[in-house]
Amino acid sequence: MFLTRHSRGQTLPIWSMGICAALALAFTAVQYGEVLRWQVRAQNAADAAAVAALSVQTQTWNQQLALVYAASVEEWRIKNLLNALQAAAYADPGCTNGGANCQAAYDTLKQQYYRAVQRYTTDVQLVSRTSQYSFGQAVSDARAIVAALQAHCGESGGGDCAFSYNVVAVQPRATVNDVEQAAGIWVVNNGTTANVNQDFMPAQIEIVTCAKKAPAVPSFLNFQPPTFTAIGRAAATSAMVTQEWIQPGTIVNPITGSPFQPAETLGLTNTTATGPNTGSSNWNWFAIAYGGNSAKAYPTFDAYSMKVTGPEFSAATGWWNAIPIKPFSGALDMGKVTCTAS
Amino acid sequence: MHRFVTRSRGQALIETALVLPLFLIVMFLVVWGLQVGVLGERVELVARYGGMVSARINPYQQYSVYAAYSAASGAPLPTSCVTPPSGLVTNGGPLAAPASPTQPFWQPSAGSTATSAICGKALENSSALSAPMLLGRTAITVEAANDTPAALVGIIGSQRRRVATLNQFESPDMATLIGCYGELQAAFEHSVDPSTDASATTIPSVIGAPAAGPLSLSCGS
Repeated sequence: MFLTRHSRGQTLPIWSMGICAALALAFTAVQYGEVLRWQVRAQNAADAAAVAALSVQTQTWNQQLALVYAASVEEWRIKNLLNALQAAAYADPGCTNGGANCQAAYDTLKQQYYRAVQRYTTDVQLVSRTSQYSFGQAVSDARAIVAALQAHCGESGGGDCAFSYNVVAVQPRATVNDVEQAAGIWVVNNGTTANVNQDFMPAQIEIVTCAKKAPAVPSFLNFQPPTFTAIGRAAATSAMVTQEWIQPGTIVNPITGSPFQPAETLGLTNTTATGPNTGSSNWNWFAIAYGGNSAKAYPTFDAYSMKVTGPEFSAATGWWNAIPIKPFSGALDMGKVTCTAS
Repeated sequence: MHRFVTRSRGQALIETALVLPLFLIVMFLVVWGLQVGVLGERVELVARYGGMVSARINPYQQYSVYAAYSAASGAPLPTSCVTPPSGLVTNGGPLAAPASPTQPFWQPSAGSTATSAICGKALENSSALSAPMLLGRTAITVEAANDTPAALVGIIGSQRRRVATLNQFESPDMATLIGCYGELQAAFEHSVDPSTDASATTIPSVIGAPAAGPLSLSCGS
């Protein structure tokens, strides 16, 4: 009765407890929001670094592929030039054009041949240079890129200064697909897994970004929350992101309105079409056509089939980029991870 | 004792009147803290997905024979550069959210959302690299703000702005590669279009030994 009389009307303790609880809730909300934000930021930094690291391998391969394509165009030209040279040497009716100009055609073709071989030599030497990029270099360069991101953090080409970047592993990707022709169509994973020279194995990398962050509210009612650790863990691999099968002699370049690789007359004006009938038209030995044949897609098989009706230059190319994948190194050993303290 | 009871009558009302504003301010702080926390995470996520989409919006335009022909002929295809739609912050963007749009409580202040993307290339020339290398780069910035509850404006300002920035990288596209490696550009262009080859005709010499060494980089960042 004494207590009741004295405490009648006193709600201050209850309000105080309520305010303390609400403050604790506010503290938790702010703190939790910060933790989530930093976790996503750490993941962003790790993802970007993983992709950047393998871009070195992929760009070297893209250089090489562009050069191989250029060399293959030149090879086709040289093959046709040799045919034309032989035809001119034997006074093919296509270049006699009245019986007097095969020698001139031969001389012109010879000059073209020399130039084509010069260009081909250049292409092959450049292919040689780009193809000597070893897997060891890819690993070393991937690590160097990650280090450079850290060193140049905050700059236009750098990483996020808030984090330490740790390379957990760089290794060849465990599996590569087999692509082969079966029953006239291209099929993926139809046989045994491809056995690829290690220097041409796609790499995979795993990166951890880490930072120890002070809490947004340093202390609350004598409670000092510990720093939290923001960790991003990401992996990437080199992958063929676009694949093409192109007949540049027939497929039109939308910019020029002409085929990517139009027919070439080789500077000869005194020749006419002649030679074997290919089934569609007479073949002109003294011009270079990059040709094309009818192809048919089989969507249900993910495959293509083609009926060969004449000479054709076609190219199957694949272009590379680094893409994110799931981390692959198993349980993370935090003892090997460096964390930025802030 | 009777006098004491009489004097304490109504004390609860007075205490409540005194403390309730403080309590409400603290509750507003809880609300504000939740909103700011969610927004901070969301702008980071928009930067993340915006960056990923930007890097892979049109791989055929970036990596293809078509792109190589165009670059070698001096008319490179434009580098894909997509600014993350600001609607992503409010879940109303073109990338459909798995659930219904975010409730108004969690939305940023009207007109406060801004996104940008700057695409280009970055040159890495660390001595630890086997050769100077290029990276395709997209710098993403996403920002949005929460209005502060009126009761807290005097304490923490009228708005709380959250900004996320991200440098997203990728393998340089064909336009960049061919534009930045002069040897590659010349070899590709001359082979696909021999009319551009102005070199003198000589009898080709035999290749003595396969060439070695990376291609020379001929452009800056």
